[in-house]
Amino acid sequence: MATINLENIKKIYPNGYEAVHDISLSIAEGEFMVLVGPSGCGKTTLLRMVAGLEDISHGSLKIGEKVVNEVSPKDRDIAMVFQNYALYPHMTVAENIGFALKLKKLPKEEIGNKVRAAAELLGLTEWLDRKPRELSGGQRQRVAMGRAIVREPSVLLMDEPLSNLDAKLRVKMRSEVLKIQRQLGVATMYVTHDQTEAMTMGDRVAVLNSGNLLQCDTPQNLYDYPIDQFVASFIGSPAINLYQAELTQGAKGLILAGELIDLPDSVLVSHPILESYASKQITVGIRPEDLSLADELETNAVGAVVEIVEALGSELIVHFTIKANSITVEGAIEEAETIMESKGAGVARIEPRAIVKAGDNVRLKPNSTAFHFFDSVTGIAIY
Amino acid sequence: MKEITRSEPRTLSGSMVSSGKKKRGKSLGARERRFAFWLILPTILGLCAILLYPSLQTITWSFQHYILTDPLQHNFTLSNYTQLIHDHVFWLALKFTLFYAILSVLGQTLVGLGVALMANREFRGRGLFRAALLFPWMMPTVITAVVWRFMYDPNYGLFNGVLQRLGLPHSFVWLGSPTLAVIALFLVAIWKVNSFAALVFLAGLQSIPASVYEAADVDGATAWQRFTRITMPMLRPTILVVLVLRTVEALQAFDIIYGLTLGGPGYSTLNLPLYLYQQAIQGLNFGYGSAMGVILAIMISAFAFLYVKVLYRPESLG
Repeated sequence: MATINLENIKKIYPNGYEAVHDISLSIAEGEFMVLVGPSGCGKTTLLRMVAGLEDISHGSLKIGEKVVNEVSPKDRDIAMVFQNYALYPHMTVAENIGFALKLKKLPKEEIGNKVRAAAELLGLTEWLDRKPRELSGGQRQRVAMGRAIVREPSVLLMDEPLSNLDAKLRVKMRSEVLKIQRQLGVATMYVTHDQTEAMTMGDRVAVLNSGNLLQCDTPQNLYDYPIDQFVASFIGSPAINLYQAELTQGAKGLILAGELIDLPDSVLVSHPILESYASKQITVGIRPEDLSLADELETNAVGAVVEIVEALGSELIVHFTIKANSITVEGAIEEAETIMESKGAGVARIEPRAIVKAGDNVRLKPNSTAFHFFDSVTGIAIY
Repeated sequence: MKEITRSEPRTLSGSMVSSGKKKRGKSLGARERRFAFWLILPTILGLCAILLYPSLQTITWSFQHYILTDPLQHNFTLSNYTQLIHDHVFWLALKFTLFYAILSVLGQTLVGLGVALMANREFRGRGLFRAALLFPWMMPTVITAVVWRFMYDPNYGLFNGVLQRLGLPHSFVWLGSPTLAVIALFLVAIWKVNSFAALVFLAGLQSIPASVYEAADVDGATAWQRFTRITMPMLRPTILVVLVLRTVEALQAFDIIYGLTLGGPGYSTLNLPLYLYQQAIQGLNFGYGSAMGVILAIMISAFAFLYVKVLYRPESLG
């Protein structure tokens, strides 16, 4: 077991393209660290640098107490699960799992015992004599896991290991991967583009975008205290609603969609810098669950037109528009999630029995104590 | 289609509809099969004309006394085969055919594999190197053989010339001594064909995903272990293809030997196809040549069968 320490790591390709900018990150023993971000954000490159499959252009990488920048992958005492599993097609499941041990020239009997133990842990015992092509996607994924854990590595690296599985299996495997990691107790770096996977699995989550590490924190802290608009948009599903708004004098209220919403004193206490934005434009973030339907005459609410209602049984996902400019952060939201792209679009999670349908004019009351505020120019959070 | 429109107004019951579907499926299938037959008929006729008929004719002639200078005798006879058994030149040619096929294919495969491994690496000018690989393979064999014969010439050839400039012994009669002629022939054969093997191997190498090598790296494999435990097993189907294709071709080698040594000196580089040519075309003994042809065909089939038996493993193709 070991820690992983990245200090000012950079990746610059020969053509000058800088894929990873100056990232520092440390992963404690036994910690499950998730690297999350949109495609091309540099998360896989970073993981491959830790694995030794990519050179480190700048900075230092320590596994345990040793700087391993120049150490080959085989001498880093790491195991890696690849996105496409990278199983050896000509070997059986048992041979795949035991390959690393065979290379270490361990006695045959010991290899057999370890392979059987790993197979049992992963429910692969009856498949040990099969070739990878005879297995389902989920089983192949388990073989890849088996190959990684049988060596009892100091560090476990996983590159989108669940992305090739169907949605149901992915949910099941999430908890299994986590269970195995807990049993092994090794420092783990796990790359994914799926924020749900990141939130449910990580002890801490590192959010990357365009080669930069934006924020690294526990999932709840990321959700509650995002450092900027990107993190706020990326974490959470459905995504946070971001609108242009204006603070009133003394920052006692917020004008959103032409309506005044009072800000309780507690908001100014928890966001002391907000005062300096008094009478200025800001971006306000409202999580979908912080909106509720309000009566027609209620104050501190905004008028909205319902566009689409998705009934999930446990709640209603109401897509609406308000008379405000909505802000979309590039790369933060997958296209499939943004059903509407109209100006002022937003999403609310409403209690399931509410009577609301597409085309209705409603009033939505935001929970003003749960507002997120961002500088409208830099996108940085205001606390 | 007509049957369905007729049956539909009568009843809407599921069974009728399904039987209608069945009928349609059957007639469609039969129609498609008939159409397919007409499409492949020209090919079948072509193959019969250029493959089946000559093969059957060769087998027939091999059992007949058929020399153009003698009157044709249609009677069945084994004399061609018995004569072969007692013909020591035939045995020499047969031995050399096998020797040439095995050694040249081995050389072509090994050199080809080395070249492919090299071409698969990242280096400056790789594209040019890969394109250059094609040249020996593109050149007609007989021209290759003639050009190399010039280079082997003891008086004005390239080889002796280079040796002379290096101050080394330079009076080799390359194609004049049995041992040197065999070596010279192998050199040409390997030079000419390794590029084909290399191209096929390169395609095979490129189909091995990079991530498998990366996984092996992480698993602790050295470069040699990566080669023996990943590359070679995953290349096995490709190697099989090259071995089968090349052996079949090497057993039939004609133009390269004809152009370079004409089977000489003596019988030292005479192989079965060349001896067959001498007997059947130059000696006009079609019966005797046909018997040799039949034996050659059996030998080639046996080799192909053996390779597939030993090397073909369907799971390695997945």
